[in-house]
Amino acid sequence: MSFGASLLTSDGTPSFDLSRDGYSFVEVVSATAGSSGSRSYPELAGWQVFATVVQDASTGSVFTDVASLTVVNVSVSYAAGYPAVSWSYGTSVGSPQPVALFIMAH
Amino acid sequence: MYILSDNGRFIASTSAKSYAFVGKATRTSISYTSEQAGVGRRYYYYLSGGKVTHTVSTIAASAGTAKLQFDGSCGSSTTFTWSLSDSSAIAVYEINSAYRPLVFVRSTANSSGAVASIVLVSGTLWRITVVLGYSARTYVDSVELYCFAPISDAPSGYGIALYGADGSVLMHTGKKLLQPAASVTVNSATTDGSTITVDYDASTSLSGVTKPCVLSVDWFRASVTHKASDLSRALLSSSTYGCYYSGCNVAKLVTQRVVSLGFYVSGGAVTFKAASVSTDAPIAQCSGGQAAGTSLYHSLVTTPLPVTLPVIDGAFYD
Repeated sequence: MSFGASLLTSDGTPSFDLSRDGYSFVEVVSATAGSSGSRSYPELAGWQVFATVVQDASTGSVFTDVASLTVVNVSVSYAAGYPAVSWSYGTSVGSPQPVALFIMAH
Repeated sequence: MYILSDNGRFIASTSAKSYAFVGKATRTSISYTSEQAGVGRRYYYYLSGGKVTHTVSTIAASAGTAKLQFDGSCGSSTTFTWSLSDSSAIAVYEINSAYRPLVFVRSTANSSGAVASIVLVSGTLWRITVVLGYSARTYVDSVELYCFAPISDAPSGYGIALYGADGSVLMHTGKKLLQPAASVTVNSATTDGSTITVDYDASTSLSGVTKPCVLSVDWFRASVTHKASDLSRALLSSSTYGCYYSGCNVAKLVTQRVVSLGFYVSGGAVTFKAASVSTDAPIAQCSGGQAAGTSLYHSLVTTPLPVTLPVIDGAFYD
């Protein structure tokens, strides 16, 4: 940080670094097997949106959870002047599992 | 209201909740692949009516010996030596978080980790399943999981906070905010069945990151099927055992593997680290009319690529 304000946590370390961008939470979507959907965010016009996926497996077996992969096709568009995220199910390895979509913005 | 960075982009705003550091996940269990229940198995082959069938029973899961027993007209048994590789493990971590956490993994030159799933166990307790790859078991402890989640609690004591229109806390200075320092973009992944090739680009700003941790998300699984012909031939060789298996002269050993990934970042360079783990015990099968061989089948499933993975500097959150 070359100049600017510095805000500290209670232990005296910086809460954030002025030289780096932040990532904001938009929402986490739980996509069940076979589903598709979309979300629009007109309030985030001008922002860049990212979406990543993590398996939400809950078979009770960590080995089965590791073996399974459910692919979710995710796309982000700005055609309407604001970000919109859509998703659909693709292929699977093992039994189709629910998937959590992390939608973030910066 | 916005708090902007030096380059004019926002760090936090009143438009959305900020992601903040929750803590490092705690490892609660680890299962080395050489010690997975059911990996060591004993195979019994029975000759009946000119056909060979088999049953499988689980034995102690460690390298050693197992007995192959023939019944029927063969009436013999033999003992063979088997071993299991010890280069990967599945570990379970836990973290308390009001929201589903984003997990950044700190890998090293001798160990790597990849998140396979994140599941809510109860209340605010999340279970994170991680595939670990390592050169020696002493290195598994060096894998660290940095967890981030939207701010959910109110500030206490002092500091600055941002509130949304609905009165909810969006950011406060009691928390360290998620601020990626760099990124890795995965362009493609391919496999020929024995190796995984990943094409990726790393941000040039990685050189200034002292403790890089990469966001771990699911983006591919590779499954590989082997015909372990050498072992099969030895076990069912008619010349060795004096048996003739009509219509059933080849036994295949099928090993299914899943490969996940981690990234090791050091000195501004990114290295892809495959962390593979056997997820199915060898299965002996009897298949008529097939010649023994070393055929190998493989498949690779990925999420749509490219995908960009943020990188944080873990040192900022230690």
